[in-house]
Amino acid sequence: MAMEVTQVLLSAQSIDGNVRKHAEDSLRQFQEQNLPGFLVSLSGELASEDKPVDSRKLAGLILKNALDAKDENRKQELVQRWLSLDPVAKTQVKSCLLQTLSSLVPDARSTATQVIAKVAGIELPQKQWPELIGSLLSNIHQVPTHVKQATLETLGYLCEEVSPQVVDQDQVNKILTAVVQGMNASEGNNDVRLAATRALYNALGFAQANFSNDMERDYIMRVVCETTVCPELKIRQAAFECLVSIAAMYYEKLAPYIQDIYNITAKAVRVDEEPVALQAIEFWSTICDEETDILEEYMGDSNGDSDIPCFYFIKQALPALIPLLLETLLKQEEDQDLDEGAWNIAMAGGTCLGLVARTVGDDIVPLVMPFIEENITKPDWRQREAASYAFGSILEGPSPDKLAPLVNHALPFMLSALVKDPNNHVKDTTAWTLGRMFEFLHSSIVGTPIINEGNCQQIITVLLQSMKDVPNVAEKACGALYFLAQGYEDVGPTSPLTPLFQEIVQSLLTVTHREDATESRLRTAAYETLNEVVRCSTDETATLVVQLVSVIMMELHKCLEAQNLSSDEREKRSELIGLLCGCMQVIIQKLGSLDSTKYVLVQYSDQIMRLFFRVFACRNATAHEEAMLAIGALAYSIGQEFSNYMPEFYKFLEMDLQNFEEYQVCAVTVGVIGDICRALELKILPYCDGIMTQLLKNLSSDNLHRSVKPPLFSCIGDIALAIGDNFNKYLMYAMNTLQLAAEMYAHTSGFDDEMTGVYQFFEKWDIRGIFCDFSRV
Amino acid sequence: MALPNQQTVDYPSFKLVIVGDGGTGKTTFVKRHLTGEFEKKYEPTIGVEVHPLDFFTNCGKIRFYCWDTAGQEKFGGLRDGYYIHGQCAIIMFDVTARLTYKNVPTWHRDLCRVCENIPIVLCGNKVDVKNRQVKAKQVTFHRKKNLQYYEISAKSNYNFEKPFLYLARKLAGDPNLHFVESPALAPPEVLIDLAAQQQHEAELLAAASQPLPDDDDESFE
Repeated sequence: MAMEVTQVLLSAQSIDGNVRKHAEDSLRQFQEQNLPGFLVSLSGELASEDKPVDSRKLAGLILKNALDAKDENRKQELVQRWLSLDPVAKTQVKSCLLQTLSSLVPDARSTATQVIAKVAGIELPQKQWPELIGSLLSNIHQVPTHVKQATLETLGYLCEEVSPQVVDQDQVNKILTAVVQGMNASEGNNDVRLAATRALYNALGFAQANFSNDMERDYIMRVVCETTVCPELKIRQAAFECLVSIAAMYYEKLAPYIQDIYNITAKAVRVDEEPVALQAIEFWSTICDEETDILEEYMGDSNGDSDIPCFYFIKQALPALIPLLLETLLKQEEDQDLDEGAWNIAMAGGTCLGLVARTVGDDIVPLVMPFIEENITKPDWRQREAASYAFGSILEGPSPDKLAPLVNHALPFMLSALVKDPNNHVKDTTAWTLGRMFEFLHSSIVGTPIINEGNCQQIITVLLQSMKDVPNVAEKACGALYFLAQGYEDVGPTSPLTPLFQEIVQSLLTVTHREDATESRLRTAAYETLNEVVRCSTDETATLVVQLVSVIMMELHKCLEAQNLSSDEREKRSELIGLLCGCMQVIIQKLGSLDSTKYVLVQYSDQIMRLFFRVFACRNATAHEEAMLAIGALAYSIGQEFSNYMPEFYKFLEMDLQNFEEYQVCAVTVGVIGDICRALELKILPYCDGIMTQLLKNLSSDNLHRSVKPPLFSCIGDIALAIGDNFNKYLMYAMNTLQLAAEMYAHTSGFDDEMTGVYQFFEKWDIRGIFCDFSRV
Repeated sequence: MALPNQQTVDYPSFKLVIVGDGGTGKTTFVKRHLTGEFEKKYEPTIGVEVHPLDFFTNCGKIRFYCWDTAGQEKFGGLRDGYYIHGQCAIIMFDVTARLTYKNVPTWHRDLCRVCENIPIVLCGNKVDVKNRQVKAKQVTFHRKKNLQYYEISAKSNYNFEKPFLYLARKLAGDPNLHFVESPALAPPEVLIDLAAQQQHEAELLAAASQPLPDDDDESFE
């Protein structure tokens, strides 16, 4: 009955797509035609010691996938199929699986462990396979260590698949006892200890009852802590991963052990290898995450109650924890500043330091400042960089009152270091820290401003000079300027940046023209900063913004005129066009918000629209989106005047509404139609038949990405608002669609985003009283 | 030693497994590297597609056989059966779709149970999009598993070589390995290029260690 599957399984792993597909088709046919035989063959392959390891492994994985799926419905279907299978076949499969636990081939054993857990996950809740756990537990006392290792692995996966309610508590206790004993130093075999430690990690959720029992918890915690000092690296790392998971799952049980855990983690961070040290730091980051969540819940609840009390472990550990984390900052890697995503001891330590600051607030400051003051002027670049990084890491959490005097004191030195330090890494971090200072401490509501008439000019001068530095430093300097400008957003009619506006804008434009501007995302940062400077500027600089319109339009024109571009250059050009359109959008919004400059947009609107139509012709999705958003801003600003452009613009609207593939463009277009409705009001009427037809088609389409559906409802509401009684023409179609959406909502609870647009639609109806018209129909 | 079922090339090659939910941009990411084109239309990958990707490094040429797997389960084919002998991996999620990040632990678990102890990069894709639902600060899974995390965009090429460079460094055991432009010259002259490259780097290193000339602006004294 069993088909020879070895060669098919090996072919299924070929790089050659044709060979692979043919093999997969054979396997699928076998499965469909003879499921029992298929499963028995696979389990036989897995169990056969004379078969190649690759075919054995794949046989096991296919067998597992025949029992399990991520999709819940599919999973239940597979479960039922297994349960209704011929009992003789099931017995054969299970027998082969257990037999494979004794295999000398590690990959065969580890695959069998996964499959056994899946079968157990199906059968144990049905009170089937009652002898399994007893059989596994008896394996623990077997002499061969490889069987013990495989069995512990199986127990860990089983605990993950099966809820503890399904198993007798007596057996739960025995499983955990076996697992924890396997971790014990008295177990001489490292493979067994590693399997046991990982099994405990998988079993932690299964061990709720045991973690509620003081004696049992004490025993588990003692063994976990002892395992963190095992000579074998992988075992130590696995033990720390258990501690991290325990911190998240059993935070409220940790109090008796926190001192021992501190000692263990401190030693690991200081002297152990990086993979272990990272997890030791992660323990404290996880505690921060837990305590922040608890405290936020405590603040949010008017009763002042939280389900879980906060034990303030971080506050307690603070005097010992902070020096430990600060030490890690000195373990930078070379070129770390060039790798934005670098993850190592120093970055983990800094991340944890930032989390501690958010968790404990002001208390962290007096513990960190001495380190900063001591190291900021040291000859060794590592010490200077660490000091700056420490400063930047604690700026979120402590109160402005606490931080502002320290920042005021440090600011002159930081500015000097930004342009004079000989090390790029130090400058990179210094610029980042300055950005953090401005992000968290510079705004009109802060009591003691860190930027004032005395230092504003100097700060700007230094930042503009830093923007001439290497790309990664210049990019951070742009970020600092971004937050500096943002802080003046609500400053009122006069801003300290006003006299400096022209110089700032000129410098940013110069950055965008650097030959290396595409490195470290520098050009993007420069344009984003320029946008923020314009957005947050006051009326005093309106005339300069007017001049900027011409500059950006000229840039856009030159971009569109570029010829004979390579594929890569075309890509860069499209990105630049997107940035320029984004800049135009901000400028238009700024000028459109002032009565004194609105007329300028009317004057320029012909040129602006011609440029945007040319952007559309480039057929680049990102640039297209940005141009569309800018047109929405223009329509909003010039109001009824925009009707002049509707005949030509309508073609693009129609095309974009049908653009399901680039659904983000479609979503942006839907939003822009709302802007245009508000601008034109009744003048949108000639285009409504076409627009409404397409909107309703989009709503009913299965091909359009679901995230676009809510904005469609909102857009229909905007149209109703704009054309008033004329909307009667579309009312029945819209109501029908709304009813279908409401019915869908009734069947798929939990998709809140889906219904937002519907609520918005009804709100707008109420405002306009259109609902009364409906009652007359 | 050549791996089973691998085509033999005379330079190092590695099986790279790419996993993650459907629609997160796995195939687009691979094709971006292959052809330079950004594929807008979403077509679900059926089973797996294997693409060889060559990179030129300062230590010579290397190849990644990219096993671009189906993210949608109904098209999954052999699913984790494709991971066998994977030597490195990329787990991709979409920062505009929260669910794809929530599923990362499951992808990681399945991957690690087939390929033990391989370097893995977590990638958050589509970071250009304005309405990202998974903000950088909310990404913490890499901390739990000692993974490298990069935010990328297959659309704008942001960080798009970083995952491969990280994996290449780990596989070579050389933290200083870096990518170079493909040599246009014949193989015998490649060595000369590499020597010139090393000389150039030595000069850069020497230059970088020089202190910057003092700025005589009074306000900075």
